[in-house]
Amino acid sequence: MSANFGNTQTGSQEVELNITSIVDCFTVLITFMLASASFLSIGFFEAATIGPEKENREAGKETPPPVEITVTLRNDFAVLVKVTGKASRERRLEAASGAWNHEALTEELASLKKTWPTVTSVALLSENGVTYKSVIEAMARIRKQLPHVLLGEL
Amino acid sequence: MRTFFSRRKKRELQHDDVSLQITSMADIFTILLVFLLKGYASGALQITPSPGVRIPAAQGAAPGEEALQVEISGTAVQVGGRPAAQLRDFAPVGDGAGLSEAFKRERERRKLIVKANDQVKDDGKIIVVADERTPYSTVKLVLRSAAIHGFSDLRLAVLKE
Repeated sequence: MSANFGNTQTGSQEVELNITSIVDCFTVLITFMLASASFLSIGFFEAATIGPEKENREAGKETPPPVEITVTLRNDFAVLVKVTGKASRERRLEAASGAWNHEALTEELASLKKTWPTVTSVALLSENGVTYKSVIEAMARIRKQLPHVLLGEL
Repeated sequence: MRTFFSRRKKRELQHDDVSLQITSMADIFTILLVFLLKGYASGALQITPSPGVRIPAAQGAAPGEEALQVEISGTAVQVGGRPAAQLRDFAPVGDGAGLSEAFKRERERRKLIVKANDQVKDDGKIIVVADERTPYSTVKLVLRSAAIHGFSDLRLAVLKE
């Protein structure tokens, strides 16, 4: 790397820029950055636990919801959707080919949302043997219809 | 004549400096560094799960904010980066007293911070980084313990699909 300073005719100087040390610094910096960088794209699901504090907060709100929706995940991959309040209804969604029937759950929640558009929260319960992955997958489906999910215990 | 030219060539070869062309390397390093600095600066929240922890993947996840991190792996529950309870193959070992103590300690710490700094709110948020294989019974235990000490606003970490 070199640079010309001044007019060639009047006399110029070629200056050699030594970038070896810059490259050394860059090498160290890049090594450090690569070692500490995280290439995972992580997002978050908001949820809350059902408890006395939450209930007190809910009690302070202007109008309670007309119905309360509870979704329960069973160990046999069945899903129980229960409605209590102004309407009472319980529907069991059987497993589809030994796995969770997410499509049926989505349809059921969509139908409930259509009937009760002011309801925005649902309680999600699970039996002890259900894995965390299944709970998250169910939450992802539920949140598309009802954004507030409360995690509770059976 | 031949001897004169070969001697001259030998002298020229001895005096010529061999310089390394590292301009292109410097260009590549500059671009890499800018990219890494951008990634380093924009990620305000750093979640680094322990080795072996598989976070479940899901769609529709939102960005998070800084909060107390609780990690559930196959061998331990960590609260704020410190082991709080032991697990064996995702099942709890013991009575969970250590977990309760850890949340209690964090709650006290949070109260002190809120007292000292008006801008910090006592919101009871926690970030849960759990392995996808964890049974809900273990997750329930951790969440129950957290809720007892006022941490009921959850942020469940998922891998964005």
